[in-house]
Amino acid sequence: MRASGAPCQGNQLKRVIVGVISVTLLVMLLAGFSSVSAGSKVTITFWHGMGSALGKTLDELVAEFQKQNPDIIVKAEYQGSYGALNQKIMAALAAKKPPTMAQAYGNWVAEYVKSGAVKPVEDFFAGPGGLSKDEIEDFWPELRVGCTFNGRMYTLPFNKSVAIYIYNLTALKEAGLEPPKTWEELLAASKAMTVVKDGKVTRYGMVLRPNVDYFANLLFTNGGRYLDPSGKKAAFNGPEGVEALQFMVDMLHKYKVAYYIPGYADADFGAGKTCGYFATSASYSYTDKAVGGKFEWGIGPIPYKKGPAAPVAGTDLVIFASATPEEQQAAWKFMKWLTSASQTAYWAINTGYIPVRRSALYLRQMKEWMAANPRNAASLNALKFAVTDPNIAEWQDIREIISQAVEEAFLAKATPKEALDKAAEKVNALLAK
Amino acid sequence: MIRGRSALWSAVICVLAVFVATCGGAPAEEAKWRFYFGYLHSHTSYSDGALTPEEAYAYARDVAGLDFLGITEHGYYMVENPHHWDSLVEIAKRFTEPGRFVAFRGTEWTHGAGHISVIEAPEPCSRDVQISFDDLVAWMEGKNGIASFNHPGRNEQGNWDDFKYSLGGNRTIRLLEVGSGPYPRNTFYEASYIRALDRGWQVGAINSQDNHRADWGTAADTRTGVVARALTREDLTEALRAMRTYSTEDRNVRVRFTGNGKWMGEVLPLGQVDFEIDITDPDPGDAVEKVEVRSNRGAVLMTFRGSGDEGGPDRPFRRTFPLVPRQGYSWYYLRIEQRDGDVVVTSPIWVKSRSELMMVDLRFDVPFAKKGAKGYLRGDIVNLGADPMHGVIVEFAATAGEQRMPIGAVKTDVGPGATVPVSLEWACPVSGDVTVSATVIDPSIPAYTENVYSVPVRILPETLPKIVVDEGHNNRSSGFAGKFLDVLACAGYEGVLNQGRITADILGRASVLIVANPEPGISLTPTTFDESELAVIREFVAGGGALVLAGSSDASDPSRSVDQLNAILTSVGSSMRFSDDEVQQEKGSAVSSTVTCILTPEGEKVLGALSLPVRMTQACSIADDRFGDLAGRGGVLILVVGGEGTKSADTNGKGPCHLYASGPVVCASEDVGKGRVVAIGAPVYSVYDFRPDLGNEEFMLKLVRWLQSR
Repeated sequence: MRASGAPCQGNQLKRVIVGVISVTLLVMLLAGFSSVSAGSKVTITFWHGMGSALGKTLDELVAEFQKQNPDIIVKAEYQGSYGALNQKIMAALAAKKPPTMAQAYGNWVAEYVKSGAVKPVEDFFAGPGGLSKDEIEDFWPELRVGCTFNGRMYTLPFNKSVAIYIYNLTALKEAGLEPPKTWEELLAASKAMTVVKDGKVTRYGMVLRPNVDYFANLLFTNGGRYLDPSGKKAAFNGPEGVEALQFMVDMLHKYKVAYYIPGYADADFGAGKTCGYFATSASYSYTDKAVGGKFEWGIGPIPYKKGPAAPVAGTDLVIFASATPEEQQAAWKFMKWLTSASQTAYWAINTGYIPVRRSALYLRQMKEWMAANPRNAASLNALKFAVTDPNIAEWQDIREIISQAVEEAFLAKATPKEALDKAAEKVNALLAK
Repeated sequence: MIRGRSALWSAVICVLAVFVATCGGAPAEEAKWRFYFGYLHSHTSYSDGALTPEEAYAYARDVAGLDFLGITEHGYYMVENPHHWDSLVEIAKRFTEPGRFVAFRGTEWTHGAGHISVIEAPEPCSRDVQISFDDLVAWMEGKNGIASFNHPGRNEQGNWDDFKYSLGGNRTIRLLEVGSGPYPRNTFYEASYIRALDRGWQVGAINSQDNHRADWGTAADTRTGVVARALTREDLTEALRAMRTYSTEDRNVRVRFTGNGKWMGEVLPLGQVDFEIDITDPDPGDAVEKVEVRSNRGAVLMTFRGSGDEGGPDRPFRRTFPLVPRQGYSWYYLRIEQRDGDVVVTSPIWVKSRSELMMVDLRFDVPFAKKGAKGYLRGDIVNLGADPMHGVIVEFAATAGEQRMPIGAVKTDVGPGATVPVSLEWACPVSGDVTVSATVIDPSIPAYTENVYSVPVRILPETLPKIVVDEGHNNRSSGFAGKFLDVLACAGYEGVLNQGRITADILGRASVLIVANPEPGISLTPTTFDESELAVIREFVAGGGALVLAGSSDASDPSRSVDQLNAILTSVGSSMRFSDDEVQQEKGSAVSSTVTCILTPEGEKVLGALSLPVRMTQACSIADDRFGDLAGRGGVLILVVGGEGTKSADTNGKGPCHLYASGPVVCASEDVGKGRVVAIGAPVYSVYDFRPDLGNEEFMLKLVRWLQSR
């Protein structure tokens, strides 16, 4: 047996050791609950559908952001086509494992908002690193509408393109005509550029696609709208819509200055089968490749009947509510940076999408680029007349229904009025649910 | 003793050996062919399908019992994710076990022109990289892949310029999905198969499930049947390239189709072919119902019917028949239907002249051509080979009964793999059934005259009654009278569209002129009839012609008007007028401008009864020249009135009109001088109106006949 001093010393040491171990364990435990401890990075995941050249440009931007923000790691992951992207997001939400943020169409976001899965970007406006009133209003107003649900801004606009009319300038010049501005001029130009040899048409003035987008271009330029002001009833089958669809049907069957194809028209345009078609500003590179310098081509706004209109489509950036506060902050920082003037200008110049900030148009690099690319500048000028799709969850289905109606009318299975009335019935039933 | 016993045993062994050799069933030659079942087009989560390639191959092999499976991920996924491509290649290699299973891998090129799968190439392809069909063909060169046309829906996509022949493409694209999709009945693409074959593609028939779910091989019993020597990658790829394949909705039917002893997929020289069919199925319920032999343009040359259990496990379905091809380039395939409805389509056997040139789409381009009518004999010359052909001569001739009439010849150059149209103007000097033929003279074998193509043409007598439909004044229903013209042609009339002004020349020889109301708005043509046109119409009616005018409603639109038609009526001296109103029909609580109309007793008397009512959309009523009720007017025959619940209303508030409270007059006829004038509230002859559930077609025919009969 020893004197009482010796056991005391051993106990003290034991207690210290136990204490150190406990504290260490506690710290480790705490560290496990937080993805940020002093000096470590935040990782956010960003799911998108930008492949090929678009993906490359996005990767460049991500790399630049990370250089400027070494404490944030952005894992930008390509998920495939837009269809695949939405499916994966829905599956991830169901499995309660969504990414931190994603690229998403407004009508997908409507669905996410309904189930409370979205952290509204508005929540970040007021705090440090937020957006001032001027900065908020710097986003094109029409684009902001697309990001707003129940009066709150949930997302920021990201890659948007505007509908345009692409025409064979060489053929127009041969016909001694100016690029058409109105429906009437479009018809006259298409007629002049249609070539008939030995009873066979060897070149058409225009090509159409039996889909909702072509219909929308003419619906809006005829002063029509998809839905009535309440947003609960179809308005596309009104006189403006019927006229729009009838005009396309007449170009095909009555005036015989157009034909239609189910897919993209760039190849036909480049091959000289058609002298005009509708596309979006995001398809310049495809047109360029298809034409390959064989002839001069130009871009103009969609010809109008009642007044100019430029349908705009594309996705926005959304942050998911299940991310941790640190992840959300990091995602907000990234998306704010990505959509600020310099970055949106870089994005626009390299992809053909439109810059989402008005101030981007005044940046030197943007002005220089527009001067050097007057063709692309035309679509930017159309932004004043932008119109967007309704942001409702049923929108994908509604697009499908309207496309079917357009196809029926092209095939002369139904008159434009019959086809649109039938579609309106289906749409109203959907909206009533 | 031993010696005697071993001799006996030797003899026994010899007898046994012979017995076994002959009992193998077929002769040793045939015993080397085996039947394997699987398909080449499916997806996993490496693109937009489910699970992984390992799970897919294992499932296909163990659960579905397939002998082979091709996973063909969408190209753009593979190009974006090279690690997935490498992984797919490695997994396919791992799962391939000779005698047990063959795993194919590749990419699906998903272009707007149509989707094409390429298997066994060393790299993936993508519509974003190979942005055109020509790009894809160039990319495939030398890559040793095997490609197929996937689900080529003729009404859904351009089908690579309607299967225009491509020399480079034909080297690699050896197959076409006649059946595609994860459904038990998926043989949707025979029309495209026929078109591809007609235009020179040498492709074999396959079937794929194109799975996007975890159901490879079990989504349905559909398979591609492959006849190969063994279950190895080399043997199957040889069989696929040789097109010893068939598309089948039955999971295990064995089909042999040979010509002069050569398998389906082969090309035979021109001359008589002795075809043999041999079909068996291990399942008792799967006997053969019928077999059709199909050839160029999809013509069914013969039909065999199965009796009893022929084609089942116990009794093979066997038929033999000789055929002498009539064309310089022919293909023949079998379309088999089993008792349970399963459809099988085999690869073709080709019979080809000595030349690499062939002709497709030989035709006389005037439908319902009349004796003496000028038109063009047309066709496309396809050079299936790699040598340019300079100075190809095509000699046209026509045969009517015993009479042979040379027509003329054209000369042209056809580059390697090119398709070149040829045409020659012709007016047939006789009427009746005529056979038009084209002999293609290959410049490298100028004495060879057996590369002949022919098509039957029916030539109508010279003077057919002529009906003119005006489309030169932005008339309502312009561009939609095609079906009406076809119906007229079938009935022995000559329907003609007028695209310009109405002149005496246009109306010369015409017995009926149909004019629909000009429409306001954007137009490329005048929307009014000038004085000289009114004078021509007046003289036409005065000379005994029949004039049919078709109106349109005011549709609440003040810009709409029937003034032009009323100007014509005034000019010819008719007492009828079109009302500026709309005929409406009550449908429940709503009112519709689509109305059903019925013949009056007088109408039935002169036209005959109709089996269905006539439908009019946006029609106006017919009044007298004081806009009073036409029924009260003498000298006018009321032919058609609105049905139950109809009336007319002045929806644009403009007038002048007669408001009928019920049964508005929508069609009436008046004899004016030697001629006859008929006023109808709307054109009832557009393609929208000629439907089997409406009486419009019958009405128009009967009206035309009545007008003709004077």
